[in-house]
Amino acid sequence: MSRNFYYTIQIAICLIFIFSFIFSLRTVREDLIPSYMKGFYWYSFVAALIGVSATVSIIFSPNSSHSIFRTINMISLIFHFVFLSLFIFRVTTGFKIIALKVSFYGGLVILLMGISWNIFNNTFSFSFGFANFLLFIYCIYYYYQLLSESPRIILFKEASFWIITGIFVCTGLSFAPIVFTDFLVVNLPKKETRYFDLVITISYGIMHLLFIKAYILCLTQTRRK
Amino acid sequence: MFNSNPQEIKAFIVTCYLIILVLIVFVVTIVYLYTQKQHTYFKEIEKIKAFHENTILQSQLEIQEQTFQNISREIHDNIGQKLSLAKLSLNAVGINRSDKDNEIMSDSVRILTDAISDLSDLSRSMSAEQILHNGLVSALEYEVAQLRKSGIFKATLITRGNMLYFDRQKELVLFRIVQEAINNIVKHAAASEIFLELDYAGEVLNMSIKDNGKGFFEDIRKHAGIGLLNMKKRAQIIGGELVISTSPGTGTTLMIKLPSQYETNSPNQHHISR
Repeated sequence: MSRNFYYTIQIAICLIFIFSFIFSLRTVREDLIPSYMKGFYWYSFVAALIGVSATVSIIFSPNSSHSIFRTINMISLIFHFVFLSLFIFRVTTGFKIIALKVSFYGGLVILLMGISWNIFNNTFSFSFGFANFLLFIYCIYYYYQLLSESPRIILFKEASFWIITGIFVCTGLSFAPIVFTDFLVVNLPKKETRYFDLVITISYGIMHLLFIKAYILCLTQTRRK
Repeated sequence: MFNSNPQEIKAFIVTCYLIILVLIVFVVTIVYLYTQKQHTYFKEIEKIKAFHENTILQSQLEIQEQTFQNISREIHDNIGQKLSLAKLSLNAVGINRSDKDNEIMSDSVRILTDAISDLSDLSRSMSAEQILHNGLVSALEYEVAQLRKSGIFKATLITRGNMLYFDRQKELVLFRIVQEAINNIVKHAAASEIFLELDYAGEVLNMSIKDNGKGFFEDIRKHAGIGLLNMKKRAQIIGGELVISTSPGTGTTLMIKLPSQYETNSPNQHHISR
């Protein structure tokens, strides 16, 4: 894979992050958006910040180990996990299910330990893989609940459906590359690790595209009201 | 696992595509199942709603019928009797009166006679007895006769085909629909002719009520009448269908189609044509 192609994709995904943030800003002062969407723009804000810094770091210092960026990325993972889990629980009745509640708090403790371990060892896979795996399970719980309750809502017009589908696709798609990243970084030349890096980046890009769809839905529905 | 081998990298990319495919299939399946469930759910809601509407309307009809019976009985047994008594008393007044008094007296007796006759007609029209004992055709004949008697309308009743005997309650609902339609014609249509037709075509009764009145716009029909809507719902309750066709200047036709899947022809069925 050529470096230029890799950079182009990285920049494109970064632009999606920025667009997602711009769209999210339009929901800030809207009172009529669904209650679960209030404050969701914070996620897009942090994602855009991390996305831009990552892209800048990849393009302008491609040979550095990015240890500072990696640490920031690890810390942002806590935000990613907590924010999206709480979002799913707010949309579903997740917190009323003891197993999910325990998995969240227990998962958070394990994640904190995993992040510390990853930061010290300059690794990546365990914490990201673990957080995404839990999020993936929560998404499946959302779909399960969707099918077990009275189908009163129109799915395609529901912002929560697009957001959770975004999380589901992102965590499902990036899980395998994330889990093997540490191994691949050691065993493959840098040029070839770009494939796996791109899969992860693209999966996050898809997630943010679906977030944009959710923001647009919220805005159009607010205007109708 | 990977040894910089392009084949293995390609395999990895293919695996990624497969994962995407599986995820998409999963989401599409969820959406499909949800939509199917939603479809059934909305159908069920519609059914329950229709059932409730029918129950309410049936209750309304029962209450209305009961009220009609009470008023009819009251007119016949109480007011009618009192008026007849008053007429008798007037007739029994002594004969030594002036001509003017005699004229007033005979006018009063005539007015009382008219009032007794009108009340008797009203009582008969409101009562379900006529339908329950003599059947729909007989009741409609009476209504048509009443219209003719008024001298305002030229009313005609035509019956075709082998007469079907419906359940009496159904006939009562049909009769009330016709009464309401006639009432509407009298009040709003400015018509001079009313034409009632009962066509027993095989297992279906096609009933039509036509007038040569002023008619009305389709839009008005859509937005107006609770009366029209009620007639439609009543027809639905007895398993029938009511269609109204009208336009300004061409009169109005009300068609009621009532299948008789649960009814049987009377053993002494006969062809009636007038």
